[in-house]
Amino acid sequence: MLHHYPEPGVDCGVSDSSRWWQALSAPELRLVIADDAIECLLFDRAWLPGKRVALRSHHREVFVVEGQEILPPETVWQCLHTMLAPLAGQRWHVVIVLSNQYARWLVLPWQAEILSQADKTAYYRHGLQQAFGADAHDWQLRAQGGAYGQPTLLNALPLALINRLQAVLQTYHLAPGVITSAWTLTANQSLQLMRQQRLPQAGWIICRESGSLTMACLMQGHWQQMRQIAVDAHWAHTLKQCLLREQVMYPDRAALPVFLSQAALGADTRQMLSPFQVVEVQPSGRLGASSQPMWQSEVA
Amino acid sequence: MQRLKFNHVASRVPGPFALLIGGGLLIFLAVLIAIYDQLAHENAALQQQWQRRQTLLAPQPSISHQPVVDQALAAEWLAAQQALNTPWLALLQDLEQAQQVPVYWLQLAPDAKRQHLRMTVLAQRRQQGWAWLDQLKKQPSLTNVKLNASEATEVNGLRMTTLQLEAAWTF
Repeated sequence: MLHHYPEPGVDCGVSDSSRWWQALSAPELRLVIADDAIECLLFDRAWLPGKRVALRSHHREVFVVEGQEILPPETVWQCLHTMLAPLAGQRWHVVIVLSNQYARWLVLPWQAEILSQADKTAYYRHGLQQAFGADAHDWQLRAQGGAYGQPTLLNALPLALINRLQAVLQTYHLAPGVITSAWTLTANQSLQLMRQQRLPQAGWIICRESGSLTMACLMQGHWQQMRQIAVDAHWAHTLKQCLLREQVMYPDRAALPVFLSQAALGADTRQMLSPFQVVEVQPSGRLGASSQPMWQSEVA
Repeated sequence: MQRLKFNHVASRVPGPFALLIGGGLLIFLAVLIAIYDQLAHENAALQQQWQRRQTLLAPQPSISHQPVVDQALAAEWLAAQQALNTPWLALLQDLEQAQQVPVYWLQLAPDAKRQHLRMTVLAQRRQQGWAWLDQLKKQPSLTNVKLNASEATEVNGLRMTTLQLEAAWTF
C-alpha cells in the first residue's frame, strides 16, 4: 500500500499525460495498484492548469498476500474489474500509479561517446540487464537525462503489465493518460516543495509503501543513486540504518535532508530518524490527511 | 530541476506546450498572410490610381482627320504625278539611238496614258525607212512596232517616202 497523499496537477501534471486534453477537460480517475492494495480515487475536474482539485471519492481494497510477484495477482485484477465496471464508458482522465515493486529504477552515468538514440537505448538496456538480470528483457524503458555530463535516471516497467492494464481499461472503454510508478509522484511533489520553499535541490527522496522503501539521492539537482529496500513495520529503523551506511560510504551525503510524505510519517518518525533532518512533504491544497479512504474493505 | 515524466503510455499527440507554440505560429502565419493580402490589395489600388492619373496627365493625342481633298484636284494631282513619272528622257534616248539612218520627222505623238506612240517620218528611200523600222523594234522601251502605211510623196521636187508607224510604249 502506497503512503502518499495525492495532489493532481503537482505529482502528476497535465503536460505529463499522453491525453492532456482529457486532463484539462475531464475529471481524474486515479488507480493506485499494488500487490496488497488497490485504490481508486476520483477527483473533480481542474478547470484551469494548476488549479486545486477536490477529491470526490476514495475507495481502497486491501489484500492479504504472501511474497512479491512481478505482476499483480489475479485478485487484484478481479478487484480492478469490479472498480472499473461502474465507470465504463464515462469520460475520465485515467492515471494509473503502479507500486514501485513492479518498477525498476537505475541511475546510469553519463557516456560522452553515446549520442544516437539507438545507442542510448542499447546502453540503457545493457545497464538494466547488468543491474537486474534477464528479468529486464521485456521491460518498457523511460529515461530522463540531466544536463550535459550528468547521470540519466532510468525507469522500467514490465511490458506485460502495461499491456494487460490497457486491455482491462479497453474493456470499459477507458484509455489511460498516465501509467507511472509511485516514486515519480513522490519525487514530483518533493521537487515542487523545493521550488516553493527555495530549498537547495538536494536530499533523499523517499517513497514509502507497506513492504518497501524506494529512495533516491539528489545532489545539486542531479540524481546520484536510487535503490529499493524491503521493509516491515519497523521501516523507520531500517531507513535510519540505511542512511547511516550511506553516510559512512559517502560522507558528503551526511547532511542531506530526508523528504518523506506526510502520509508516511508516524508520530515518532522524526525522533527515530534523528539526527537526519526530515522534510515533511504534504499537498498544498485541501488534499492531505483528509484524503483518507471513504470506503476501505479487506479481501482475504 | 525539472519535473519527472516517466509516463509509459505511448502517444503521438504533441504535448500542450508544443501544440500551443505550433498554434501560435499558425496564427502568426495567418496574420502575416492577412497583412500581406491587404497590402497587396492596397498596392494594386494605388497602381490603378497612379495609372489613371498618368492617363489624365498625358497629352491628348491629336485627332487625325482625313484631309478633305477635291476629287478634281486629286485627279489633277494624280495626272501630274503620272506625267512627272513618265520616262520622257528614256524615250528620247531610244529614238535617237534608233535614228542611225537619216529620216525626217513629221509627227511624234506619244500618249503616256495609253502608253502608245504614233510617228510619221519622211525617208529619202524606202529601204532607209524599213531599216529605221528595224532599229525601232530593237529598242527596249518600244514593243509591237507596226508600220501602218507608207506612200511615195514628192517634197520640193524630191521623191520621198512617208512612213506612218505606231508602237506600244513600255515603262
